[in-house]
Amino acid sequence: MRLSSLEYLSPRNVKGILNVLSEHGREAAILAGGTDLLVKMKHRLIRPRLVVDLGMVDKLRYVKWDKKGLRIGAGTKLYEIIQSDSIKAKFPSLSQAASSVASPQIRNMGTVGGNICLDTRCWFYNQSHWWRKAIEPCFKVGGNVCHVARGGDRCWALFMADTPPAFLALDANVKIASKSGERTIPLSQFYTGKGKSPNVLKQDELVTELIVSKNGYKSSYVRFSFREAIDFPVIGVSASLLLEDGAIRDCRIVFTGVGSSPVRASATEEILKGKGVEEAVIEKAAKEASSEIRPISHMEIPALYKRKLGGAMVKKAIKKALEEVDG
Amino acid sequence: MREYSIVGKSLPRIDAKEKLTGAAEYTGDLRLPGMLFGKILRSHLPHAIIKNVNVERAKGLKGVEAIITGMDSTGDKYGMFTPPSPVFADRDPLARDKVRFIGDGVVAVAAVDEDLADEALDLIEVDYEELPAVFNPEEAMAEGAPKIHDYAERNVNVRLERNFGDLEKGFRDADYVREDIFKTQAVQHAAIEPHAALAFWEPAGKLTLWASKQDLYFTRGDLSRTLGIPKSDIRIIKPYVGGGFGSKFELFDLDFSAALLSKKSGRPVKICYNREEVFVASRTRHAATIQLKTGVKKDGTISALDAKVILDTGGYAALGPVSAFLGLLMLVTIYRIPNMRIESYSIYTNNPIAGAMRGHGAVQPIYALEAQLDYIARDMKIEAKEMRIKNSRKGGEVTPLNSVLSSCGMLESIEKACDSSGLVKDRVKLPEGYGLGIGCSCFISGANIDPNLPFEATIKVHTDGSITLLTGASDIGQGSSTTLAQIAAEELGVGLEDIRVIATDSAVTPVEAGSYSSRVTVMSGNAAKAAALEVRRQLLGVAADMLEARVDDLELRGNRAFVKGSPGREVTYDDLVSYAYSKDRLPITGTGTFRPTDVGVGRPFIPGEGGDFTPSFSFGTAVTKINVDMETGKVKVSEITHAHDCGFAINPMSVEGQLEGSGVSGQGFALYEKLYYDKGKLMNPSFLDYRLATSLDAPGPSDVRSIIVESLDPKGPYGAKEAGEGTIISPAPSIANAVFDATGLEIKELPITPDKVFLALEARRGGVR
Repeated sequence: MRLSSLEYLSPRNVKGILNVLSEHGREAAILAGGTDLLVKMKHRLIRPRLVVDLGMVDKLRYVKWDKKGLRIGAGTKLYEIIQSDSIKAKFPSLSQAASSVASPQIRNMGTVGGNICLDTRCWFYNQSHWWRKAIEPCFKVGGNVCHVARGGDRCWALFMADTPPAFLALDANVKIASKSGERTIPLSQFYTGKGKSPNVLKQDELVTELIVSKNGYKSSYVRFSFREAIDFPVIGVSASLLLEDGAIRDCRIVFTGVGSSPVRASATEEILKGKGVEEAVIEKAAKEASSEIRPISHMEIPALYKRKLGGAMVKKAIKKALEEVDG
Repeated sequence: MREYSIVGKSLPRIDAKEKLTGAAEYTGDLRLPGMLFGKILRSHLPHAIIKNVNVERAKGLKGVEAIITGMDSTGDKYGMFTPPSPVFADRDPLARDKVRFIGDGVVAVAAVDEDLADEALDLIEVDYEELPAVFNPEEAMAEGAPKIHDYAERNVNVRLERNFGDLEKGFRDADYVREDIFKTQAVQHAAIEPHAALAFWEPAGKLTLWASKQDLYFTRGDLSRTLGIPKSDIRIIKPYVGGGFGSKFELFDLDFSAALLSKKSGRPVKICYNREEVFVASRTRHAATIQLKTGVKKDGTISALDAKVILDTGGYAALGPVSAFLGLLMLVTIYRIPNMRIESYSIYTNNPIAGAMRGHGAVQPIYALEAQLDYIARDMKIEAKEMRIKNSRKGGEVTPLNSVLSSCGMLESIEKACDSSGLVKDRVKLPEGYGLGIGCSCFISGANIDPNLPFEATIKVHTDGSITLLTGASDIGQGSSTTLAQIAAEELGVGLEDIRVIATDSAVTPVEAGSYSSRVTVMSGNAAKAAALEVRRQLLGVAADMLEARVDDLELRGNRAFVKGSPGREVTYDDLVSYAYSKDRLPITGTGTFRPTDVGVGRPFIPGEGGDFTPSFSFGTAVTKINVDMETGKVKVSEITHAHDCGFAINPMSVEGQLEGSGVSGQGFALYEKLYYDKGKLMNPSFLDYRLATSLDAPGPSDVRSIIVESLDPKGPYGAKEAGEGTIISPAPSIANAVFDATGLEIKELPITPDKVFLALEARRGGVR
């Protein structure tokens, strides 16, 4: 499959990017690593008239620490997250999430911003132009049906990115820029929960930075996929835990792969809060997580399995976060 | 055993450098001046009548040079074999009257570049009248099911049945009888090189086709038939091929379309499938339902087998009848079972076309039989290994289908694989969640199925001393050119590097059936050996003159001829050639032909016909070690030990490569790979969503043990048998049986994905309501 002909722009600074986005709006697509965008373009899922490449904008590519905490430029490559010793030491979940994406080649190209903005996926959507001719247009492409949840009234495409749950479990903020200015919002407000348009980003906006200010939390990201590489997670879970005198003072449990956006398991968190780090507590939390998440059968993976797996993965995530305590 | 210099040695492939450096040119790399690019518009409906095709708008697009539809072929349906039988010849190169699966080619366009050709496809309007469709064989066979081909009642492409002994008595004699139904999924070859063809219809009216093919002559016959030109006007050249595994056999829509578009445009036309097209429009391994009823005596002897195999061949037969027969043949051959009834069906549905795939027809039923044998072994408290040994064939046996097993290394493969893997010894000691499993295999070494296709090779010694081996055998990555060159070098007493191989150009190389049914090493190998022996005879004649010795006393080895037992009485190969040249005895040419002597030309896969077609069978055993993550259901393969009786390994490194590749591919079939269809639509036509095993999923190099068993078959060159297809059969059942060993779960449907394992475990724990 080939790209259709298009215009290619590569401004040298953020301002240049924002100008292009402001001028061309829907006709422009932001090219970061391209690992998701180019496939969608070849499938003719999107047909931008021009792409604006972030590749020349060095100022979007950094990992730095200041009084706010950790700042990561949206253009930072996933492998650069993995290579950062300070991230590995302070927020191991981010490192673990970045290193579970696809394959070395894709991690070398893919960016943090791209992973945060990753579109939802569905076997009825991520297909070629010719393939989709065989089916009625679904919600995701502007139609009125969902082929996954037949009779459903919305798009059920799945959010499957690895790093967002890790950022969310650390209460990260995201900085969004447009020609008219900048805003910083909690990442939790970035996601809409809608399969059709999973985030709030407008056509003229660009994600420029992720900010993590949490302190003292132990964290982990675990994911389960059918094969060991080049596979989206069936389920991914990030856990962050604040321990005090052997008890869990605060925590976050965030899933990927179970809905149209990352899903925070608040009831599961409540079970953990204030309890000692004991097998029985973890077991109870896992059980709660299993019933708290509401995945549907998708891409040939049964909902029942996903629910049960969700519990097992929560257990693994908590234990992995605690290992970091000992290690 | 004779001492060999070149055969039996692990020599690097003669084309390794070209491939590793990227210098090797595949069909898709070729370019001719003025070349156009072709694309094929495919049906997006599973079953529909083509009412009208309007190409006017596409024609008007600047840069579009030619457009063809199904109506541009002769209308003679094609398929394997001449004279054509309706059970094969059910296809048009592009659909004429109706489309029968999503992906059926309908219109082809040639344009000055690929983007334009793509754009043109969007402008073509095809009027379809949609027909009811059917997507599984059971429903297709039911009364009132949509009829896909006029001739095929209840969509039965073929139904084959063979009965041996007294089935009733066999079950009466049994102490234990067990019935199971197994299902295997459609999977794909996933050769790294997609299908490609480049055609040039020369002004003089002759056609040259460069194509990624496993065979030249079935393709040429089908082209002649559908284009309406004599075979002699068609030259087919096979450049380097990046894997076939059964998917690059016979005429495809792109071969025909490139040819006819070239005729219409007067320019060369190239068509390359993209990966999605490979997935939907090439071939798959038949999804199968295998019903087995097996009777066993107390001591483990199998007394009766009643088997029914149903294959989903998709919208067209392709090789469906052969696939159905091969399953039957392998069930008959693998174990000594006195009483049998075997029924095998190839059934039309509106799914994409199934066809030959490595381990053709055998993979599905042998998986089922091997899995059931382990269930029986547990039920009867017999060791799984003993179960196989008790029923194993031995060399010299004649099977109920009258195959003479001229050699059989089954027992040796079982012993060696079990010893090396610790199957019996370690099984009892494994912790919970760990398992060891065994799987056995047998497969044909070649098929003698077409009287018009002999096996021939020619060797020429030129005036400059260089040696050329001409062969029609298709090297598709399996290394056949190297194997054949080794044979020639061995007989001529020269080095492997002294042989230049020119292969698979129908205008240059001798007629050859192609690379399928694991026939090249045995049949082309024997032909190459015969050609080399003829050249050797002539070279020795020259040497006898020079050395004033009797031919019988001479030997050719190490690039010289010498008198055996008389040190110093020798001439170098170069002097030999100079002398022959001076005496006008060059070039020396030898042509060798091979015909299996005790095997006829049979087409037992056509209902009503019979006969045998294979000279010998390979045998093998795989033992796999796995562990199951009880919390997720995921199966991890940690070790595989794989012993294969290839008769004699002409190149042991190549045989090991086949064993290692088969292990990973078999693992994919057992655990990950599946083509998911939704009403005939393939849901995962990409390498992201179709899960081939990656290097991280496969066991590490030190945990893969390849064992070569050499039973020295009298019919093969140096004793060789096949090593390319039989190897793929045993890994999947060995993995399934290891999962059974680890968990006690009887999962009778492949692939054994984590959700199946986990939900079965939960059901047993009582956790799922």
